[in-house]
Amino acid sequence: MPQTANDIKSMLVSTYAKSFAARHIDPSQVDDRFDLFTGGIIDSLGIMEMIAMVEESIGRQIDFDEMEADDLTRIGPFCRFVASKAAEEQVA
Amino acid sequence: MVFRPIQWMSHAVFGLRNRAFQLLALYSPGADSLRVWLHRWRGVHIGTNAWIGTDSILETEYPYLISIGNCASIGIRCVIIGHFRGMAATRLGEISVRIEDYAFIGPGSIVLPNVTIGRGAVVMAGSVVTKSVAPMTMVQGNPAKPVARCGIPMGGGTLKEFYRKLKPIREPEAEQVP
Repeated sequence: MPQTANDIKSMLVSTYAKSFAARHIDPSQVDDRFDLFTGGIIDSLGIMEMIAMVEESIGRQIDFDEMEADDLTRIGPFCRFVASKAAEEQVA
Repeated sequence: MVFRPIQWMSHAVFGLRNRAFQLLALYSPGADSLRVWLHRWRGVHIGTNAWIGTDSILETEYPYLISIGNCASIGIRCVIIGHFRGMAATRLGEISVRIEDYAFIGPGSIVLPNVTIGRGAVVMAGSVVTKSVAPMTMVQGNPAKPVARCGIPMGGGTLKEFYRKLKPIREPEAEQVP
C-alpha cells in the first residue's frame, strides 16, 4: 500500500509511463503543478480510472470535495491529498 | 386493403417534411437554437436549453418517440433510435427514448429504443445504451454499463468540478435500472 505522496506519485508515473514516453516527457522532471489532464497523460475517462486506482491502492473511497477542483489532476496536490487521506485511515 | 389517398398524402407530406428537417438539422449551425428548432419542427419533444451536436440523428421515421429534457446535451454524431422495423406500431404521444433533464450523451453514442436516460446521467463517448440509465449515473462501453455515480450534472460546473464529485463504481455494484 502506498504510504506517502512520493509513493503515490511513483505509482502514477509507472502506470502512465507509456503516456509520458509518448509525449517525450521525463516524469522525474515534471513540475509539482504538472496537470495530467491538460498535459495529455490522461483523458476524461482516465481521471476516473486514476481515482479508482488510488482508492483501490489505499483500500478506501476518498471524498475529493475538500480538494480544489483545479488541483484534481495536478500531480503534486493530488498525490499529497491522497497520502493525507491514507494517513487519516491509518490513524483511525 | 383500401387505398386512402388523403391519408397517404398526409403521411407522405409528414414524411418528406420530417426527412427534410432531419437533413437540414444534421449540419445546420446553432446546436442550442436552429438545430433544436428543426428537430422540434420534426416532432421531437425537446425542453429548454437543450444542446444537439452536429451530425446527430434523432429517430428518422417517428421523431415524436424521442423526448429530450431541459438542459440535456446530445453530443456530435449521436444516433438515437426510437423504433426498429417490426416493432409494435407506434402512436403519437408514446415515448420510446426519454432523455431527462441535464443528461449528457457523449459524442458518437448510440441509444437504442425503450430506454430512459435519467436526470443528470452521463453517457460516455462512443457508448451503446441498450438499457435505461439511472439518474446521476455515468455509463460507458458497449453495452453501456455504470462506471460512476455523478455528484453534479456535467455542465453544472467546470469539468474538473464534475470529476471531483464523481464516485467510481466497483464491479459488483455495476447494475443498471431495468
